[in-house]
Amino acid sequence: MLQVENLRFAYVSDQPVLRDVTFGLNGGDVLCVLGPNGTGKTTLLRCLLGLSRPAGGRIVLDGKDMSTVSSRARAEYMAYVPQASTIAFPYEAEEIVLMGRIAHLRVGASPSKKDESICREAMESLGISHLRRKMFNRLSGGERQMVLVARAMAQQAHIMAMDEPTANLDYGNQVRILRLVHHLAEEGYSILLITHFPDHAFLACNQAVLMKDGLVKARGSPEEVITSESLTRLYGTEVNVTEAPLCGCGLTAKVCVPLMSNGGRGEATT
Amino acid sequence: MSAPGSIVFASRIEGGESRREADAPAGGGHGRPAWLRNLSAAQRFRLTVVVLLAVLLVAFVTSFLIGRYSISVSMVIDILLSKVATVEQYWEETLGVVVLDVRLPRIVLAILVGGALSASGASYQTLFKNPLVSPDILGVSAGAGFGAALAMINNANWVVIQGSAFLFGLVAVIMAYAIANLFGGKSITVLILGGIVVSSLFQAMLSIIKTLADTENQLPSITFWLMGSLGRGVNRDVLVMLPALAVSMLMLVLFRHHINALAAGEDEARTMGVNVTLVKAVIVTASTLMTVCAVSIAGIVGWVGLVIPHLARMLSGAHYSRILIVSFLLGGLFLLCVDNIIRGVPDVEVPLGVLTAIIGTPIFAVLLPRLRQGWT
Repeated sequence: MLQVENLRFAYVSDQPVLRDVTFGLNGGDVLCVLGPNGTGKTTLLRCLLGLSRPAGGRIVLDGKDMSTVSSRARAEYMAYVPQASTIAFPYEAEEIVLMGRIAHLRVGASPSKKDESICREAMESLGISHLRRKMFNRLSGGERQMVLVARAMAQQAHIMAMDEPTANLDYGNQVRILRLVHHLAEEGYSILLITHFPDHAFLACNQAVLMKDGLVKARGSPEEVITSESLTRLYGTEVNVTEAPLCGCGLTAKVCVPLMSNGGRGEATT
Repeated sequence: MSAPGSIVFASRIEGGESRREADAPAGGGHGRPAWLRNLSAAQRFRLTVVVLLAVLLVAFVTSFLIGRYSISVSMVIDILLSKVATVEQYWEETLGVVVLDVRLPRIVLAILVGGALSASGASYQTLFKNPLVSPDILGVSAGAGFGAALAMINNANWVVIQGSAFLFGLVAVIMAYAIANLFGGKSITVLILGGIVVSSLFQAMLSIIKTLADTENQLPSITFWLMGSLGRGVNRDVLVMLPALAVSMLMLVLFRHHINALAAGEDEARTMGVNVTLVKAVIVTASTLMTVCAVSIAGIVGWVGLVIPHLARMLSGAHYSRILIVSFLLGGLFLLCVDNIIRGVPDVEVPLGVLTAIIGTPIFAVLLPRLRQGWT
């Protein structure tokens, strides 16, 4: 569905941020991009969203080269869920969601009843209908993130690009967002997720891309790709990927445990 | 996974303090009657527009009563109607001239100038997603001030002074735009920087002119021009301003939802499918046209374009399509009232820009606690 081929990008021509990035995203995939700070994850997202112009390589969506497509046409394919931030003015949550319909709106036209009901359905399916008339800026971080997801759903694009959707959220809200990601994938969305938590890849993703220094170091299913060795190399700090038993039912879950130096808590388990 | 369509949520996301805060009504107004709070945003907007239009109409007609010649409301209406319909003339000729050629242009211009400044202020605030931005952010006022002063020290007549103000107002914005494009590429923030740089350039050049001006006539007239006045408004000004305003407002109304999306930020708007480059050009063109007309007719009138959009947001929420209209009406009404006070005080003419700030600031201070609710 989405193919990224040999993508290159540089803000300054002799300091490439993306050297050679290749991966694919199929319908219903949840792909997480992992990598240390400053490795080009957000730049990759910006290239996909048409906010930065790649220096080379191709982005192909449903067989169409995305480099020549207008922002409006791109918005029909791909929606962006930013990190929950505040907005300078007192908007109601529903007004934020309605912004997602812009790509479907002719110049001069107002959102129709249909646009409004699409937004209402999106909010309902996320269980946030009660926030409709609330001021966006006064919602909690988790609620704001939900509203932004609803806006992306209202855009009715098949691909959702999320930039660290769990950043700045408490533990409970992080889990809720991951459940939501899972749910959206079941509904048929393809999701590209940037995260700093390798655990999240095991919890919600079926594809993982490890990036470092503008290169893809590994890609595949999280079980194959995310190992003690790969994470240790990726982040430059020792990490142990192990299996933890889940209470009662005999199942196990993979978890990533960093090793603390000098007899830290992590070391006791090795 | 729970059943599709019902995920676990936000209702339980956070307890206590923040929940209660979020329960406050949107649009910010504690102490409002319940029926008003229960209206949808669209209903509240319609109500606001109807009320503002009614108040504006009443203010428009009663404004004709202010001045040295006393006149009744019915006579004002008859004189106004005599221009469009056949009304038998029962008033003195001078009274007709006073109403149609002196008071009418000044009253109409007060509304148009106040409306234009407020509407462009609202547009720029949304574009730059910054509540501190005013219509002269791109250097219009500084450029126009320089242009007017330049004409004044050359002893030009009023029409040339206006034309020069108009021209240099445009030149300043074009320079700001060019600088921004030269150095910043597509980013919106550098546009503000370009505006600030150009403003200080024209202010410096204005200072040079002030030092060159003679202190008998030229310097006082420059000084008064910079404080704003509607005292020299004539019907010709209305005829120039009206079409410019109509075109500008039409452009802004057509793109209202796209402009609104810019409040989420340039990048997010682009990912939602907004052609940011085009929409930015539309806003800058329309706002500049409106502001430069207002400034070349009335001189520099600060405060209105900065503050009125905030009052508009308080009345009808932040959506651009609504604050554009409400700002226009509210700004027109405000400037009309302020100018009426100026006309009502005999023998002295207090500068318009001075009085807007003197009257406006206490009002703003009183409303500030409510306004702040929506800010970050």
